[in-house]
Amino acid sequence: MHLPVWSHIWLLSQIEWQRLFVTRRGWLTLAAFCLLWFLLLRYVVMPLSQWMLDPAIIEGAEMMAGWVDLRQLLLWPRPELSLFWLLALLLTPAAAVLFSAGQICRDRSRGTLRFYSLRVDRDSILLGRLLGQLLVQGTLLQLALLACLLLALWQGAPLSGDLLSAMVFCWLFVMLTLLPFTVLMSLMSVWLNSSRAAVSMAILLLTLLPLLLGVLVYYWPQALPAFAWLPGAQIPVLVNSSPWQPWAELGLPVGQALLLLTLSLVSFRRRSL
Amino acid sequence: MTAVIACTGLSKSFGDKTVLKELDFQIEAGAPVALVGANGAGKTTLLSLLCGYLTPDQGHIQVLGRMPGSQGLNGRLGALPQDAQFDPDFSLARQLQWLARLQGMTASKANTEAERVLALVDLTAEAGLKVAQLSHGMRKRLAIAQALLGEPELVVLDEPTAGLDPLHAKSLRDCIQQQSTHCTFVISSHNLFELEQLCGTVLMLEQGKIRQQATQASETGVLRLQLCQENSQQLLPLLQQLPGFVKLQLVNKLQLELQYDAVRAADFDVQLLQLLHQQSMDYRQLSRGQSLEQQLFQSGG
Repeated sequence: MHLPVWSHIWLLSQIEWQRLFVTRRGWLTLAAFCLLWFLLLRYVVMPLSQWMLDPAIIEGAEMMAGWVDLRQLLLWPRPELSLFWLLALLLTPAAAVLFSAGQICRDRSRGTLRFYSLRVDRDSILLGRLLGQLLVQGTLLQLALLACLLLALWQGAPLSGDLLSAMVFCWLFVMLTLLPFTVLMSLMSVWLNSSRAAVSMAILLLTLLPLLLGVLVYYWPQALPAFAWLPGAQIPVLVNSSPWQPWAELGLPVGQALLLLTLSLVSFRRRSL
Repeated sequence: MTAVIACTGLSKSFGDKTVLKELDFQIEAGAPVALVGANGAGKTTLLSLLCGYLTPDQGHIQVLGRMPGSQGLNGRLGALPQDAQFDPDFSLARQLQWLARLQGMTASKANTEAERVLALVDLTAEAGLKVAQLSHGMRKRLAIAQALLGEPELVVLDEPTAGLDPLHAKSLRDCIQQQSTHCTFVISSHNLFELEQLCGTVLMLEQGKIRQQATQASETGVLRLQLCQENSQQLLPLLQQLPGFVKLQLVNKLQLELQYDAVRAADFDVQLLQLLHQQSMDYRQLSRGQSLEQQLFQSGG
């Protein structure tokens, strides 16, 4: 009996997801993630959200507008959630680069993929691993959001539809922001032989490419729109958005992810195992 | 007979080094087939091409009528890749169950199948252990177990007994012999004694080409006798008197190779044993046919 492709992808993604909860490495990741978000919620979000609840701050928000537009953040149903949104957009892409670097290369260098490739085509292996990473990221983000919700309730917020809707928005748009970074790491993981090399190459790409583009734009200003194709290019716009507002920014990460995914699939089909 | 493997014009190079040069061969379904050759002769490269781990530079490969790496081979082709390791963080049973699920088995069938193949390689007691806790030999047996999941039609084993203790190496040979009634094995190994016991056909890779295809069944009329004491000089005139005797060759002080006319003296081995008994000469071993080593390395000499 042969399984359909989607079943293979789903089964492989479940293996990745189980890694988070069954293995020691997964438990360490989970513990580090929980500790980090505890510190952020306790020592950043909690004091700043109390400060943002002050009516005087709301009145002076227009004067304080800078790179982060405080007026937009105050449009969120609760300041805890707006601060979470800000922190998640700025910090989680780096976490996605670090945690999803071993999608393919670890098992390829160990030879484990040879066992899988006798049973599953290479596209399914890559897509399964990627989906697994996204499921892990989605689960962790959900846990952090729940902690943020608990903090908001503890600080006196009523449990409203607006608050839950803003949470869903936050989860969805942060996940979409992480998508091109995760697919980029899938590509790096196909090209390179270790997680460390994949992370190093991603850091080089994500720092050198904007620099090179900057030089290019200096001499040839028409190249300016090319900045929009860098992963995370939409983050400055998203940071200053209120819930369910930035639909126009959805296309860019999805387009970037599709392009990188195509490159990953083509590269992986040609790669020796 | 059906060809389980058919290669035409198969070539593979790594940089400037050509490993396989326009190989043409086919392997029929049936008795195990041995693949031998010196280090770097291209055995692992050939097996990797058959499994779809590598793509050929030129030529065509058909495995069970399909392209290597094709989904049509899922569950039909099993392989023990050289040096491939399981994930050290998960248990043996769990990983075998995943592979069985990917072959299309239900969860309960995958569980039963994992237990079956673990029993075949004597790892039932270790099923719940993590792979990191296993010795090198146990990991090898686990990798062999995954190759047997779902009773595939063709199993490719790259040095299956390297690193195994003698007991488990024998147990694996027995297992291959049992399974070979419904499955064709292709075995790469440096252990000629082992291949001699298991395989009907031997492919020898040398300088990127299949130099020789020896079939043990064709070697009749040759007996190898290993004596317990050095008394071949005393034995020689007596042997020459046996009906059907053709030639005697001293392989070493204790080992003789006798050629005889198999048509005239089909019972030459019986006569030889009677002679040894009459002369009260002890012997260690008597075997029919040339050794694989002799077939492969002395045929040109």
